[in-house]
This record gives sequence, structure tokens and C-alpha cells, in this order.
Amino acid sequence: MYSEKQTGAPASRVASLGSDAGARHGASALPRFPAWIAALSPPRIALWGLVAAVVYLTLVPLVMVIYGTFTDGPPGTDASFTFANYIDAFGGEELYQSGLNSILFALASGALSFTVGCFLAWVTERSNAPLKPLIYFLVLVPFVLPGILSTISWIFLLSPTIGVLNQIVVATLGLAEPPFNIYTFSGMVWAFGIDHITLPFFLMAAAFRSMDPSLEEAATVSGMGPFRTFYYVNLRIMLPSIFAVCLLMFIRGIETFEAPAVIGLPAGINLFATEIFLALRRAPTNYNLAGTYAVAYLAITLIGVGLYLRVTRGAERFVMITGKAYRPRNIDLGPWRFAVTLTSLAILTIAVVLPLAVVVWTSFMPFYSTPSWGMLGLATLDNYAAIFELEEFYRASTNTLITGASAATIAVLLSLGIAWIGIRTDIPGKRLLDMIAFSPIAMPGVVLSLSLVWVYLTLPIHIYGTLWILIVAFVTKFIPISLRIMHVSLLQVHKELEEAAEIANPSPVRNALFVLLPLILPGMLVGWLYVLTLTFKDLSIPILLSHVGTDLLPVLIFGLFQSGELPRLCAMGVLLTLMIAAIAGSTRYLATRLSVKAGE
Amino acid sequence: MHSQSAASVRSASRALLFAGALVALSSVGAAPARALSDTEAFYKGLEGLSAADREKTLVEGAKKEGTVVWYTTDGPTPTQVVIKAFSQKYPFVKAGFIRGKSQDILDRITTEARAGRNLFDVAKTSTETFDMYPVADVFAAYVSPAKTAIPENMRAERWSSVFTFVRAMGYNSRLLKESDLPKTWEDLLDPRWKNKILFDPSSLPEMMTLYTRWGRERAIDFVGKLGASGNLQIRNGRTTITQMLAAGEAPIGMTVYPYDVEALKSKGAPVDWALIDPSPGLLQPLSIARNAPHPYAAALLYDYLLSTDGQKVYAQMNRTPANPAVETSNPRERAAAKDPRIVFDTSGGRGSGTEEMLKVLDEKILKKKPKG
Repeated sequence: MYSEKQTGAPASRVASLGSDAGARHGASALPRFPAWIAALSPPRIALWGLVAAVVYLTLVPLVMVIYGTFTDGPPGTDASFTFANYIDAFGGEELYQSGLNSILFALASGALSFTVGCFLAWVTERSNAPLKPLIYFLVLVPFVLPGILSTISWIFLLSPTIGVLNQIVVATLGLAEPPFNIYTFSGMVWAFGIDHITLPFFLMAAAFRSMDPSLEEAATVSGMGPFRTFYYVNLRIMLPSIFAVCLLMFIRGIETFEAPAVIGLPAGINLFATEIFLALRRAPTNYNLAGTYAVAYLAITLIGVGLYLRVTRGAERFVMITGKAYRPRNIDLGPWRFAVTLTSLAILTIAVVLPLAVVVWTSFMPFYSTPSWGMLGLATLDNYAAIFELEEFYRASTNTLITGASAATIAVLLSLGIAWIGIRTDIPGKRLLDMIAFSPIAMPGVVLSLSLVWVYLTLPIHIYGTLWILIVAFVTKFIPISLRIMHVSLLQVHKELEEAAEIANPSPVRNALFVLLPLILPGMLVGWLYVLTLTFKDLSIPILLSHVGTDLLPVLIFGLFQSGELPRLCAMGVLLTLMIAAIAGSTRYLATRLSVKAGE
Repeated sequence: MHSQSAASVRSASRALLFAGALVALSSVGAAPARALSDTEAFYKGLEGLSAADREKTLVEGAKKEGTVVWYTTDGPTPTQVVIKAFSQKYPFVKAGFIRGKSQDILDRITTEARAGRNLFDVAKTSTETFDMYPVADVFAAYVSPAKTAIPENMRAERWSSVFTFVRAMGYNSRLLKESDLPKTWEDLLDPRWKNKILFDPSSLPEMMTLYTRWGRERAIDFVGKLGASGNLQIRNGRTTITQMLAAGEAPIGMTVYPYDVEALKSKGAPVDWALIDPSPGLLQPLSIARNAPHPYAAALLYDYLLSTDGQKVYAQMNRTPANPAVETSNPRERAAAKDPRIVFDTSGGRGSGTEEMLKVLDEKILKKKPKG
């Protein structure tokens, strides 16, 4: 590959979006043009177009939401200016208790997800423990199952009255009292945290994969033990990834609704999300109040992003992929590798296999009942047959695949552009751009959807009622997540590679395609898969934006849940798991093949 | 363009509201006069026709339209069953649908209407939320010949109930004998039900039933006691509560849908239901859009769902059809719907009571401090 010396060349070149590039592209031959026109080149136009697209996608709903918080009616009514929403939303005392509960909940469950996800990522990426594909598959499962199903599964496992695990432990140890109670704060943290190990796993796996082993070797040579190496080398370098994961997990924990509603309400523990749920179940839905709650999320989120951007400033410190050819070395655990695999599988059995088993079991039952040999006689395929009889199932599956794949592709490409601008250029306002692009994460889906309904009902852009409005909504909602993933991926690639490529071949498009892209492909695929899977789960967007013939799977899932068809819902969950596992499997296969090619 | 037409619709509807207010003031008791929408004028014109001519006109028009758009609260399977039955009778009309909760559907309908877009033809909602929306702005006054078979207390100018629900106490029949069951809401205060009653947070109809039967003071006092008793376990979703009862998570669920219980019971699950005094009955109002894009097909679907054929389709799915002459597979629920303990109320006149009871429910039951 390229030698180190060549890369000593003009470091500012790649970072030249706003400055010297005009001269290079021959603007001097056209002296009369204003500088900004002269500076326009096709890639530059593309980049500005991308910025415009992201700003449009995110700012339009955001402005509408914030405007709505100061009015007393939905869009299209003669609403007048008011502060009443803020007084309603934040005036009550109980909100501070529930806000505090939310923060504690998000921190505790985030810590749990991160620890488990990170450990499993290390096992699959850096150790020589056996059975890695099985681990990889199992980590994916909780991510695919509809949240409502996994939460209910945890009740069936850990309820003091009917919990299967409780019954087993009581029977084997001869206890007087069931040892676990899901209806507690820790029960809620467990159910939610263990259900969200997939994102930390993915992001940390990508970070481990691109770790330059020479750094570790250097640390070992200079006499550091494995723990100090981990602390001073690995941990420091992976800081952006760790911070990004924690930020996303924290926000997810603050805004999640299922665990607080299904476990928190019976436990008498109200979170911020519970308050919002209680406020919004009044008809007609008070979008102004919903938007006002969103502002609180927004404030928390922006503080988080601000911190993240501070921590990751000085991008060179986090570079892992340099011009040197290397492949991360798998740590030889010796005989310990079996112990590590056993530990991983034990964790995954508790975290994934048990709830999945409840879902699979229920999917073959006429109704849920504690598993027993007697009930096995009632096993039936009716629930699967009922799903396959629904025309809506086929239509919704196709629609969801098309919408999800398109939204994922667009979101990843747009956020790659935003991340590239943030890391490789000195455009003024790049930090603001990052924050704007990240802000939709704070918007509850229902608020985002309503503002989009309104925008596209009134503007002469006729996408309401088509799949396009769903794609627009999903891209807007999920750009923040793919942005963090792409930001982390890009931070790890040394710009010397791009500079070297630029010297060898001045076509930026070619360089992006053949140098940068293969290096960040693993990150892109993670982002793509993650966004795609989210579109299989998000209900708030299709419930308001799907129309006749554009129904998506989450609406069907919710319909099954609403009409009391839990066993059918479980059958659906099993089918979804298989579907996404197939997509994930082929994505991973593709990623491996492509990165092998890029390495050759 | 669209915003322009939206603006004109808005100003027109403001003028209408004003006119309506004037008329209402001058002639108390009379229905407020509103200008007829095109859809309404079209249906008015049908009223003079004989049954055969009417059907012929509608069928010919619907053949040209070819489509009908239905927003419904029915679940995935019932929706498909009903649409299949409809398209067997009228194969030339393609019925498209959106499913959702009543609140989702009405939110969407009112938003579309405010934007001046007419996208749906027929909507089925629920009385739980029906009266909280500007019904007269979005649904058409429609006189359907099929409507006459529906009892008068289950229909009005702009809607007619397709079927009815009662909400009853559900219980696990392995954990509780019928003789041990609480009979009234007061019985639920008994300390032996400590933490044993699964309770849905969306229980406004229950609250309003107490309010209607008992009066304000007694209802509020009772809800306070119920919240303080420590007997309730809050569970979101009535269907979840039914599943949990079947699994034995708790002995009692307040309240559940009997058809849901019957479905599980018929598969062998240990669940049953009983009436408790008083309990709410709910209607499932069917309406045609005030500005229906396919008025011919809309009338066909509407009339079909209320006809004996349509009512039978619902009856086969354990629902209690609004037409009392149609046999149901669930006679217990039909009997319950006529029971004096059940209060059917569309809540039209309760106004401030609704707001107050919602607040009482929130404060006394849902937001109380955790016990212990």
C-alpha cells in the first residue's frame, strides 16, 4: 500500500471544502466568477445538496414541533399563542420524581446493556473462543422481537405468581418465597437492559474489528500487563464508540415506553415516559403537549451530543485504520476459550434463549399457560396458519422490506456525508449541523408523524398515502442513530489514506468509492442493518402515516396485540426473527466477502 | 393550491359554525342547521327512491368508482373477514382499509379534514372517544334504509352502531369459584383482594358509568378508596389482562371484553366473566365521511355492514350485532347488553364530568405513590 512518507503531503487538502479547492479545479481560468460559484465542483454540489436535504428533513418537523409547543391547537386550527403547554407539562411536582426515575432507569439499564454487549463483542471479534456464529445470531434476536413481546415474556419468566424461573428455583431450592420479582425497579432495568444488548454489541464489535494490534503490541513490549493495556490503549482509543453507545442507550432508555408501561405501572414506578403516556391517552391527542415533552428530550439530547462532540474533538487521537496493512489479532485464550464461550452462552441463555423460548412456546399454544407436558398436547400450528392466511401479512412484509431498505440506505448515505463534513472539513457551523441532524432522536414518533402528515397534506408534494412519506419519516427519525454509527466509523480511518489516494488519483469520487468506502463498509452495514430492523419495530410512524395499501408490519403486530391474539403475535415474532436473521446473515456474509476483497 | 382550498374550507366551516351557533340559539332543541355537503346532498337525493332503484343507482355509481376506503377499529382477522364477505356481494368494489385505535383514526380523520383532503369514505370508531371530536365536521348526516333495523338508542344522525361491547369483570376460573365473585364495585374494596385485581389505566368509561349511576360525590369518593385500597395492579391493555388472567397472574381483571374471554374459554383456558354493578356498554359507531371521495361505494359498504348479511358476519366472530334480530354465537353477551347493570352512554352531555373523572382516575389510581 502507500508508504508513510507520501502521506506527509498537504494535510489540508481533503479538509478544503470551503477554502483552496477552487484554484485546483481550474477556477483561475475563469477569473470573473464570484469565488463561491468558482468553487463549485460536482462533488461539492453533491455535498451541499446533502446538507440541504438533511437540514430540510430534520428542521421542518422540528420547527413545526417547537412552534406547536407555543400554541393551543393542532396545525390548521385558529390556535393562539400560549405558555400553557409548558406549565401543563412541567408544572407538576410528580414530574421531577418521574424524571429522576427515568434518568436512573436509563443509566442502570444502559450500563447493563453496555457491559453485556461489549463483552460479547470482544468475544466474537478479538478472542479465539469457539461457536462465534451462534453467539452472533443470539445477540441479534432480542433486537428483532417486538418490544411488547419480550417484555411480556419477562413477566411470564419472573412474575412472583406465574414466573417459570421463580417456580423452578422455588422447587429445586425448596424456597418459601419466589426469589425474583419483575415488578420492581431492578426488574424493569433487567427486562429493558438485557433486551438492548444488540446496539452496543454491534458498535463495539466494529470498534474491536478495526483495532490496530501494533498499538497493543507496543504496550505489551513496554511492559504493560493486559489490564493496563486495555485501560491505557484499547479503552482510550475506543472512547468515541463507547461514548456514542452510551449516549444512544441513554436516550433510548429515557424515551422507551414498553417496560415502563408493562412493568413500571404495576410496580407503581412512574417514569417520564409514563407521564407522557398518561397525558397523551386523552382524546383528541394533544400534540402541543406531546411536543412540549419532546422539548425536554431535546434538551437532554443536545447536552449529550455536545458532550460527545467535545470528547471526540481532535479526531486524530482515535484513528485506528492507518495506511499500514494489518488485521486485528485474535487473542489466544488457550484452554480459557471454552470457559469464555460457556460464559457467553450462559449469559445469552438467560438473556435471549429464555424469553425467545417463551415466545416460541406460546406461538404453538392456543393461549399462554405455564409450560408443562400436559399443555404440550394442545400444541397447534393454527397461529402460524392464521398469519399466513392474512393478505395483510404479505403486503405489509413487502412494504416493510422496501421502506426499510430504502430508508436505511438513504439514512446511512446522508449521515456518512454529515459525519465526513464534521470530521474532515473546517466548515463553520459543522457542529451545529451535527446537532441538527441528531435532534430528531428527541422527537417522539407520534409528534414527528403528525408534523409530517400536516406538512405533506398542505404542501403540493403529494407523498401522503404513498411509501415515500414513510421513507421520509424513517430517514428523519433514524438519521441520528446512523449518524453516530458513521461518525464513529469515520473517526477510526486516518485521513492520510484519503490524502494518499488524492495524490495518486485526483478524482474525489473514485477515491471515495475505492478507498474510503471499503474501509468503513463494516460500519455502514451495521448502520444499515440497525435502521432496517428499527423500521420493523417502530409503530408510531406507520400508525399515522401508513395509508390504504401501504401498511407496515408494526401496524399488523399492534393489531394482533390489540385484538388479544397473543399466540398469533408470538408466531409473528418468530417469523420476524427468522426474516431479520436471514437479512442479517446475508449482510454479514456480504460484509466479510467485501472486506476480504478490499484487503486484497 | 391545496393550502388555498384548505383555507377556504376552514373559513367556510367557521362561517358554518357561526351560523350553526345562531340557529342553535334561536331554536333550542332543533338540530343545528348546517349547509349540506355534496355527499350529504347526494344522499338526500336518494331518499325518494324505491329500495330497488336506490340499490341500482348505488351499484352503477360504485362500478364507476371501483374503490371504497374504510378506516376501522377492527383487528386484522375481522377486517379481512368482513371485507371478503363484502366483496363477494359487490366484487366490482375494491375495499381498502386502515386499521387503528379509535383515537388514532379520529386524530387522522380530523387532521385530514383540516387540511382539506378527503381521503376516506367510511369509518368505524368507538364511543369511548367519539364525542371528543368535532363529529359533525367530519361525518355526514346519512339516512340509510339499513339503519332502521338498529335500535334507536344505538344510532344518531351521523352514525349507527354496528355491534356493541360490554365490559365485564374477568376472572380465572381455576383460582375463583363463581360464588366467591365480587358483585359490586364496593366488594372490590375487600382486603382479601389485596394486589389481586388487574386494572386497565384507560378506564374512563368505567369511571363515567359510576359517575352516571352514582352521582359525582359518591363516584369520586369511591375511586379514592379504590386507589388507596392497594387492591389494584395497573395493567395496560384489556386483552393483555385477559391473557394474564388465563395464565393465572391474578384472579380478577377489571374490566375485560367478554368476547375476548369467550374466545379463550372455547380453547380451554381457565377464564370466565361476570357482570358487576354498574358496568359500561360501548357502541361501535359507523359513519360516512362528510365529503366522501366515493359516495356510491361508501353507501354500499355502510348499508352492507348494517344489513342482516353484514350483521351475521360480525355475529359469527363472537360480536354482539346491533340488530337485535340477528342471532349471535355469544348469547351471554347479548343478554348482558340488555342487563340493567350495563350503562350504554355516548356521554354527549356529560361535559365537565368527563374531565373531572379523568383527573380523578389519574390522581387517585394511576399516580398514587407506590405502596410500601
